[in-house]
Amino acid sequence: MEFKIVPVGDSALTIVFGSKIDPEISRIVRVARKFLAKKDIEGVNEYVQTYATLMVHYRPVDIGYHELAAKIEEELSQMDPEGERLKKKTILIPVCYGGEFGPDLPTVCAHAGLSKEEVIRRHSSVDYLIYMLGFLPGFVYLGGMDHSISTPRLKDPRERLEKGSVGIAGDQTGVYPMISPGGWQIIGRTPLNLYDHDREDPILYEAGEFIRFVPITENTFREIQKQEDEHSYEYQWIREE
Amino acid sequence: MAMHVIFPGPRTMIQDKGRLGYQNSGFAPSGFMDRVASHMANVLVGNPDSEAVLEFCFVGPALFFDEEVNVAVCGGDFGIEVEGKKYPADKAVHIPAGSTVRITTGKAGLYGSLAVGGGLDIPEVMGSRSTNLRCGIGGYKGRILMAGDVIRLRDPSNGKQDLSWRWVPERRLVSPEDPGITRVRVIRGPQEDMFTEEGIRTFYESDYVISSHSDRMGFRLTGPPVEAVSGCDILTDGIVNGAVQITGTGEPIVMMADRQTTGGYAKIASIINVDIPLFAQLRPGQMVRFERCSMEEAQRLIREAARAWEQHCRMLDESDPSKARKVPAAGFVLKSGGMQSRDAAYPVRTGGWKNRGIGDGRKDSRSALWRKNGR
Repeated sequence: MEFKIVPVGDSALTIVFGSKIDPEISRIVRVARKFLAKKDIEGVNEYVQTYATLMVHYRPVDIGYHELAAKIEEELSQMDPEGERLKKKTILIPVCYGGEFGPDLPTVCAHAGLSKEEVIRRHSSVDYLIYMLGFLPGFVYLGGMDHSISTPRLKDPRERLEKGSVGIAGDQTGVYPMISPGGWQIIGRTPLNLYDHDREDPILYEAGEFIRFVPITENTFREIQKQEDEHSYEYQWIREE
Repeated sequence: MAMHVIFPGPRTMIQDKGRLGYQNSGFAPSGFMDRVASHMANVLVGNPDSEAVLEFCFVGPALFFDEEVNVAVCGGDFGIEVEGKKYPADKAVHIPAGSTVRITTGKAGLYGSLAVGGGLDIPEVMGSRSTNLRCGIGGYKGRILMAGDVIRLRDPSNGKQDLSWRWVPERRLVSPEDPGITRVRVIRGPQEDMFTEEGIRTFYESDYVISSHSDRMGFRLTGPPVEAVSGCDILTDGIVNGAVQITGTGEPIVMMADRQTTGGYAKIASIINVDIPLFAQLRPGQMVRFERCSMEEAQRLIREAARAWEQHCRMLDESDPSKARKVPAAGFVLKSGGMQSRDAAYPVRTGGWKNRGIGDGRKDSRSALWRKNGR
């Protein structure tokens, strides 16, 4: 495992594990994040995982850059990225495709030359790797979408996308955890509150886990939405044994 | 026992040290724009330095207090008017029950921090009282303040104390009328090598103007475009407070308190931590020039500032006249009274302070401090 440590400003540093979007690099970044977080290094505030780097925010009054960089280097030399294989964890996200929830589904179908059923099938039959979160709380950068349903962004971004909107932008797919402007082709919506600051975990998932979209009917959508409002919905996970 | 908002000002909201520990889930850290001013305002009214304050931008609020309390305003060149009577900023001002407080705006500075003695009764959301407008959480109902809002005070006894003797070190802000250009120190950014030699020279040798399209998320700068070798797009990585990104047009954006946690533009530099509060006080139209600083020097400055502030807080604590009366012996070191900071970047630690032996008794030492401060 190769990495390099570079200072970023006077209160952060980045551990660079690679320079491309790659599931294996992402896995190592995640293993390193979990490994270092457990070490409780004095002076460290938090770790932020991105595609190929891990940013460490720290307090220079408690630890200087060179001391921290040496410490991280030493810790990571003890880490066995293979021995730390984390079990696959997938959250199921119910999505009502098309209709008023997915106004751009016809555009995606036309672009792919596929039926509505086939686009939904291809979109919902993949376990998407969460490479990272950013942009908005709980906004996921996913990998693994079937290229056959790739569709360019809208020329004119919408001023308002509803919370839970599921969309496609080029080769990417994702879901908006809250109301936001955006240029994605919206193909459906989830009734889940992907972000809830009153919940023990305000965000349900983290980088390195997987998301699977599960098609539901409009009736089920309403039903789950009601349960979410009452905080009675049970989130569905598939955990590797 | 409450503060009533009569006129909110355009962008007045609650901020504290920020919401730390959630950046990996995509939450902006939020927090004070001018950390130094907020710490000062809090300490003037007897609060821990990272207590939540009312932060306003350029135009301050008008507030009605139905209970006596102490308030202080720090930051830009602002003033306080209590029932029409003028008081300076950077001092605790006693507000009698049933008075209206207005903030006046002066010649320099952009952000003001108004601290209320004993703190505001605002619930913490995910460990912080900071307002996050984008998520609609924290602060007062997750939004900017509006006329008619009522915020309860946490400690109704604060108004009984005389805090007017407390003081903070003077800061000088550059006013738009000053001929000078504000020099801001930066550390080499993680993607400096994505820019041409010419581009880097442009960045360090040009004057940049703060654009009016600036807010808590970021300050846009206008000026000569910085030339990149081949585009400014990078594989999305983390962003720090004060990071200077260069966008596709070649113009810099400085990422501030409400920044996104990650981004895909190349970062040519990062403003050093001790200069961020001063940079945040620059008004649109003011000019800035970037100057190189080493990361080691920047960290030394952080430690030095933290030490000086810690010492100042200790000194105030020990010269508290209400405590002094109980201490007959000269040179007796009082225990610190609640001056603990929860701020991430600048923890005020209690250890390490030594009695510097200013004056003989408490009362004398206080006047020595007053003389030293020249007020």
